[in-house]
Amino acid sequence: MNVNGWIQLAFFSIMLLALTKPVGLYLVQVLDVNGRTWLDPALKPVERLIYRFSGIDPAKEQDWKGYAISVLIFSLITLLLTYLILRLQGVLPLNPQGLSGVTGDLAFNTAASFTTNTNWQNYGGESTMSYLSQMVGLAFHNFISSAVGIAVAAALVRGIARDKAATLGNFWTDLTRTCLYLLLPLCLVYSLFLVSQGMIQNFKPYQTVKVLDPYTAQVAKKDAGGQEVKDDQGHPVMEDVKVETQTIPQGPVASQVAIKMLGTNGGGFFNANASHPFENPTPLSNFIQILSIFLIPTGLTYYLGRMVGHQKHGWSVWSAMFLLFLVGVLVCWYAEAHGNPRLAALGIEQTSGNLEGKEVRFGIFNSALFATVTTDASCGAVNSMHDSFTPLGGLVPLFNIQLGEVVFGGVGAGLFGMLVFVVLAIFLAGLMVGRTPEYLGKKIESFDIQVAALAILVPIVFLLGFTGLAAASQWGLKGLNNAGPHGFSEMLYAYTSTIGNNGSAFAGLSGNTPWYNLTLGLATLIGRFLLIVPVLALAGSLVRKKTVPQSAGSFPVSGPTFTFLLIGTVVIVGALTFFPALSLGPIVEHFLMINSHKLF
Amino acid sequence: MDVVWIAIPLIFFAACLAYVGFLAKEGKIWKT
Repeated sequence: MNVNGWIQLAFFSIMLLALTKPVGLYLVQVLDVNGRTWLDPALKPVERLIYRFSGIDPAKEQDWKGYAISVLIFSLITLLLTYLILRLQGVLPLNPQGLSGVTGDLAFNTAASFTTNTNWQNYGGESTMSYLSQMVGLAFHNFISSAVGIAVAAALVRGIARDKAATLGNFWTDLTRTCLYLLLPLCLVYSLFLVSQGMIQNFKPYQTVKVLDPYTAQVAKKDAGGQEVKDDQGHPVMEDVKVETQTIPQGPVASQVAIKMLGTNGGGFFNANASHPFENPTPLSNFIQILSIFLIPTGLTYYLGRMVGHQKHGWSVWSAMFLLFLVGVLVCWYAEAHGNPRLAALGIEQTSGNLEGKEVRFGIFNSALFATVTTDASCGAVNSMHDSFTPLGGLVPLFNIQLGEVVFGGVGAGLFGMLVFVVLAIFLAGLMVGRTPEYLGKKIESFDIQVAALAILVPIVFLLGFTGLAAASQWGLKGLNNAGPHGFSEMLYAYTSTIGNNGSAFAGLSGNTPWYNLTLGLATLIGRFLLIVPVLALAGSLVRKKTVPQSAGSFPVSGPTFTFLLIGTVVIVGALTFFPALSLGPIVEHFLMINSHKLF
Repeated sequence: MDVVWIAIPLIFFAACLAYVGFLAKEGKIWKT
């Protein structure tokens, strides 16, 4: 934990704080159908054209049911569209490498994953996806899945802010305006910045170059049919191959990385994600990529305060998120900076910390910061391999996702997830003092708590259920490359990441099997839509309530008491739910690392 | 097999629509 890291952390925090208000104010305009932005002269005619072409009446608002049905139908259609593109990529254009169509199970998994803002990848981008698939099938979803998340957050905030109303806004206008005024312009500028840092953006075929230092590698021998040759024990037969050339992938990377980070999507153009030099060329691009994950989520907390007419409430929610972020990054940084005593015992230098699986250009602190931020939010991009973190270092990203990714969180999803916890925290406070709970003048009643509970608990039931099923079945165990608690952590992380719509992976799990493609694909859908539906039902319930004036007995939703109550609620729900599972994975692995004589 | 992989999201989203219908009753979801 060096001075360099502390300075970067301080600078990151200051930048985050400084950007919150301007982004929030801009969001207020974007998420108001009559809002004005400085882009209006150029984009207003385009917006009108989209409405006219699509038959949308921007003045016509929807109740929660209409809003939810629009979200669901739009998501289903775009999921099927991506499925078809992936299946047919072999005969579609922009495929200079001649890559064949993606298999059905992998196409389902990928389409579900990108529709839900998860971007779990059971494939290597450069070896599986054509440029058309990357741009139209996947990057398209990076934009619209982010916009859907922001739209749902805006609907919930309107539900809280409006007094005895029936409607929550119009999903189609929210979607259009978010893409047009927020995501597209930001990504255009951001892509140019990334290109300036050395990130590639082209449609060239992959380049084959001679390596400067040819070497001999052992690779699995293949027969005439391309199948691996096995010996009597079933192990692959290896042969020496002299490596004299290397294939360097190309492609439209910068445009995809911009929205991948801003939209908290996280799906890498390359398999190595943000540790690949073409996907993260410089320390500056690394810093800006981390900051951009939190950019819209931090602005949304200000948007919340402005919309409900209680700016201190927005800042209190921001403070709760920031404190949770700070604890996470410090624990992860501490664990990684102290290295692995097992490796030290083998004589491997650990004074610089645990560098296994880390890009040395970025080092310990930037790996810990990236890992914490990408899992606080539902981003999932990585610049280091979480599987290679120390047990406690790896526990932080895992637990971050299990908290519901409400620490700034995914774009939109983080805010509406945190607001569900706010409702729960106020309910608990009401129980403690024996008063009917009120949130900003709205009485929290039985139905509100029940849908809040459904939003939190239903995805968790599937998360733990799928993990248990994988751990107890040959289908699940077949994908493991590690035994013992680390193998369990890999399975737990996979389902946590997909239910949480994060998308990052504890590598080491072979996910491209029909079992994992099916269950992880279903997990992404469950984690997204079985959360959005009750959240919109909550918004629909709140919007109809009369806002009563605040009184001396009203629970204050700003200040340290509220902030710590909110943190406590998030942590206690997460800890009570996941402690047993974490005990079987990273916690027992930590004790094995520091004490046991037996290494799994 | 494409039919299977297309049917799965269709069934899932149909279930989600039913979930919307269930919550739209807006009574008590379970007795408290």
